[in-house]
Order: sequence, then C-alpha cells, then structure tokens
Amino acid sequence: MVKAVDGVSFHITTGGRLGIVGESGSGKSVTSLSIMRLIDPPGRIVEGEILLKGRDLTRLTEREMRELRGRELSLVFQDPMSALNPVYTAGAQVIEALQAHRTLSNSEARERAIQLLRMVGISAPERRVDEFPHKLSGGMRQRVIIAMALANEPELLILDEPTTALDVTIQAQILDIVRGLRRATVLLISHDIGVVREICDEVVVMYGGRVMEWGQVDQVTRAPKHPYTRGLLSSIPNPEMRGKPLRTIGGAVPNLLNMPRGCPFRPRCKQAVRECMEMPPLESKPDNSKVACWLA
Amino acid sequence: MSNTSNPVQVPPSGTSYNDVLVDIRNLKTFFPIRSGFLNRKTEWVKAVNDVSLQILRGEKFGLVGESGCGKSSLARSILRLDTPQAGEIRFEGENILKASAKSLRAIRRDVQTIFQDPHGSLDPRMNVRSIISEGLAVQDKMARGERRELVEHLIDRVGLRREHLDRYPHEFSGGQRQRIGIARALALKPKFIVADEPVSALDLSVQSQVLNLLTELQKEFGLAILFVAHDLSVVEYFSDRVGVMYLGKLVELADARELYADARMPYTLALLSAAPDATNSRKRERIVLKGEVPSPLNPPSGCPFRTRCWMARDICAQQEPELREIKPFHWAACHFAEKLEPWHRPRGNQPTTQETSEAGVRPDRQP
Repeated sequence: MVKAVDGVSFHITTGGRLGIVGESGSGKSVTSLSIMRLIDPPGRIVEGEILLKGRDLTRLTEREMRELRGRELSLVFQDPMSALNPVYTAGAQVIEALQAHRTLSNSEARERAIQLLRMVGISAPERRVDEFPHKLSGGMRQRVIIAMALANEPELLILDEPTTALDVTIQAQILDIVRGLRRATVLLISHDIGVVREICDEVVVMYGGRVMEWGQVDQVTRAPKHPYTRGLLSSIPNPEMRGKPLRTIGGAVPNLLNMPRGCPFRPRCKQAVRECMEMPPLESKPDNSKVACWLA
Repeated sequence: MSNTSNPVQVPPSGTSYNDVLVDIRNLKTFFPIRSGFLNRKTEWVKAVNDVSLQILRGEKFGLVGESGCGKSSLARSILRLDTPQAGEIRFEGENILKASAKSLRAIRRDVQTIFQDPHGSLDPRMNVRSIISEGLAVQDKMARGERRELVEHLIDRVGLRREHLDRYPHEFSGGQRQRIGIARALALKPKFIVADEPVSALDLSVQSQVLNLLTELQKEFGLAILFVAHDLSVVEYFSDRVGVMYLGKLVELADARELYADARMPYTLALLSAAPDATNSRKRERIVLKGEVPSPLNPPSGCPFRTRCWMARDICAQQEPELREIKPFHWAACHFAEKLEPWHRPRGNQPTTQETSEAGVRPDRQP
C-alpha cells in the first residue's frame, strides 16, 4: 500500500488563503484531489475527515458530491492546455459550468459568462466568448478555467499549480487576479514558495505525505522551524550566494513505495536523532505555528 | 531584417578578442510555415532574428527570456540542431555553419550539451557505462582500459557510484539522471557546453545539488557554458554575464550583477520584478505587464516590446532601437534606456497609458 498522504490535518478559515508547498511526491496534489473526492481507484481515502463548514465530505454519496463540485468546491489544475474541451468554445464551457448548478436562460448565462471572462482580465470578452481553446494562449486558457471555477462563487477555490506552465510575466498577471478575488477562500498548491508568498497568509509545508510545518507565510519564510523547511529555503539561489556553493539537502526525495520509518525527512536530515524513528506529532509553538519535529 | 545591429561588441573588461570562444554574428534562425495550395512557404517564424553575441573562454553565459523568445532556438542553432537562415556562428574562429564535415566533427568534440529532460535524454536500452562512453567510442581511438578508467573517474566526479555504471536509466531519479547527462557531456573534455534548462525539471532540493556540481565542474574543466533558463534567480546565481531575449531579439546584455541591479530595458525590469520572491531577498515594485508576447509570425514594427511597454512613444513604432552600450559593458536595446529610472515604472501595478502608448489597449493577441 502506498501512503501518498498520511495523517494530514489543517484548516482554512472562511475568506482565508492557505498555501501548500512541497516537492514532487510530497502529497500536496493528492491532498487537493482528496478534498474534491477525485482520487482515482484503487486509491482511496482510508481514514480521516474533510469538513466543509462542518459537513464531512468523506461521508457524502457520489451524487451529493457532484452537486458540491463546481458549486461549493472548485479546482483549477496545472495544465491549461488539456483542461479545456477542444470542441467547445470557451464561452460554452463557462456557460455549462453556470447552468450545471443554476437555472439560467441561455442569454443570461452568456451575459454572466462574458462578465466572468472580463473579471479574469480577458480583453474583448464579447469576442473571446465564441473562440475555441486552440485560439487562446496558455495564459488566456488558464483565465477561462479560473472563470469557470468562479462561475458559481464557490466556498473554496483550490488552485493546483495554477501558474507552473506559464511564463513569469503571465504568472504575475494570473496571481494578480487571484489576489484581487474578494470573498473567495483559496487553497493554493505549489512547488514554489515564492508563489505562495504572493497570495497566501498561511502556508503548510508537506514532505513525504506529511505536514512538516504550518504557520503564517512571513513567519515560515523568515524563520523556518523545521529542518526540511530550512533546507528548502536555503537551497533557493539568491544574489548573496553568488560565487559560493548553494546549501543543499543531501539525497533525494523519498520514493512513496519505500518510505523511511518515522519522520520521512530523517534519512536526509543532518540533525536526525534516534527519536526520529517515530513520526513526531504536529505541535503548536508559542507563536502559533505548528511543527512536526522532535527537535524544533 | 532591415536593421542589422552592430555585430562586434567589446567583450568585458580585461579581455581581448582572443578570449572569445563563440562569436555569434547577425544570426537569423527562421522556420517556414507552409500552407495553402502546393504547400508553399507563406510565412516565417522569426525565432532568432539578427542576434549577435560573444561567449568567452571559461565564461558562464546566461540566456533568459520567456517561451517563444528564441533562446532555445539560439542554443539549438549553435549545436546545429536547427539550421539558421543567415549569420555566422564562429567557434574558435571557424564558422560552424559553413564548416566541412571533417572540421565539424572536431568541433562537435568541443561543443557538448546537457538537455532539460532527464527522462527523455538518456537511451533506456543503454546502461550508464555505454551512455557515458558512447561519445568516446565515436570520437576517440582510446584503449579500452583507458576509456574505462575515464568513465569511472567521471562517474565519481558527478557524485554517483561505480556500481551505477552497470545500471539502466530507469533505475535513477531525475537528479541522478541529470548527473549522468553531465558525465556524458564531459567525457570528450569539451571547451563549451550548451545547457538548455538543465535544472528546471528538478525539485528544488535537488536543483541546488546539480547547480553546485555544474559550478564546480565548470571551474575544474575551465568550461564555457551557455546556460539557457527561464528561472531568473537560478540564472543570476549561476552566470557571469546574462543576455535577455524577447521575440527573437537580444534586448539587453550585461554582467549578471549589473543587469539585476540596474536593468536598462523596460522588459528586463518587468521580467525581474515579476519573479516571485520566496525569501524577500530583494525589494522591488511589481510591474504587471498587460497582454502577452505578440506572435513571432507578425512581430510589431520598431521595438518588439513596444506593444506592452509603458514607456513607448511614437519613435518606438517607427524605429527599431539598436542594441547599444549604455554604460561600460552594459548593452540595451531601448530608445529611452538612459531615462529609465525607478520613477518611470508604472504606478500601482497598472501600466500608465501615455499619450502614444498602446500598452493596455492592445488586444493580447492578434486575431
């Protein structure tokens, strides 16, 4: 059995912006798919609960879940090239998202779709609404997808690596839009802690399917408490490091099939001690951050 | 094609022309688009449009830009994987675009490459030993024992173990595969390595290991490296000098430190400001550009960046700015390079619409 996500707990307050950072195999995307209940069989949620305003999503039937997806929960995937249906116009796909959960006449839905496209920064939305995805650039497609995700004003908007496939200047535009979304509660998943810092108030750092650290973004980036977070932050090349070797974390990200016992970071951790053979709990610190490390 | 920029730039201080290893002059790499009746060539994608630059011996030259700016086409042209339409690429004085098969073979020894994709760039049916020694087998009449020794030395040097030599690529992680790719590139003791996004497929914690390895080996072997990447912080860290490309043009070129501290081309400034910053290592005002890169099929007249530039005036549409030396060893292609000051940056993340500026009103893409 592969434990992609193991014992992960966190919460987002209404209107909050939480980021999850982690490297490949950290379980960040599986966490977001679990919230949407989109884990492909034979994978499944073995235990735990996902509470949306007190309602446990893991206990809902597939039909109830379908009602929720797109209306209360929306997910934006990484790859804007494959997330749109090539045989429908951009507008038709936004309209479909609108009409799936609400009774709207075709002309009302079209009006609303144009409004949404304008809101995500698409110029000339009256014209773009009738264009097919292949006519749109990656940045434009990602905007259309965000418009679809926002169509029904969801309680929670999950963005899974929303800008990873985009150029930096286009990324800056998309992040600007996300930052400007009032009311939306956002869960942003990214490998790039810089992107999380742009948008989020809080960050959860995941590694090997576990939460390593959780706190205010500024706190975590300025004074990381977990050795993994420290190592990760100091591997980022910065101008002061020019001409000097970068600090590195030795070894490689563990394979999910062959997870080390105890703390998943133990084999790469310079400070590891015998206690680390057992997974430390995520404990609150005086400054309200939470860290899963025996030594923190 | 009308404006041919001055091809010879004075190399950085303390160097003479003899130090130039790769001299690229007025390089144009275009790709035809065929369409219509009889499949005629109807249009050209001007991937690299009149670029001149010099790479010095032992220099780490970084090339940055967004997708479609031509940085990879430039790298591929040097490797002769793409065929340029015009211009010269001189390697130690010899134009590799016109070289005979024999001298090209010699040049190929000296010019090696590291690819982006650690999964697709190693032959899955060859073991690591054959992968690393393949170039030696083709290029060198080396005794078997000698070759074996060299391969073992290389595998040690890139931080893998000798028992790894008998394994196959699928048994390795992305970072390890990239190390194998580096060992393969070094096997022929090249003078120049073209590295196109060598670390962008790697996780952050592995990326720094590979960057450190490249830096060490560059020093040890005295290599010149053309480092093509989209990640600005990686390029700044790694490179001695940095060139910025936009829509097939080289728009700025300077010492890495200088470029990051005092960009003189609005596009460079916008690009630098757009990069998310994880650690607050620099404070700069974010510039969010309107619109997207225009199609290279139909680049704007004059300055390629004018359609998104908040400084654009009439002259920018009429006349293409030359890449000129703004300060010693700092080149920029902008009519207003001297005037670009922090207070000229657009306010409040919105490009200011000056009377003649098209920024902000132009559709993001041509219909």
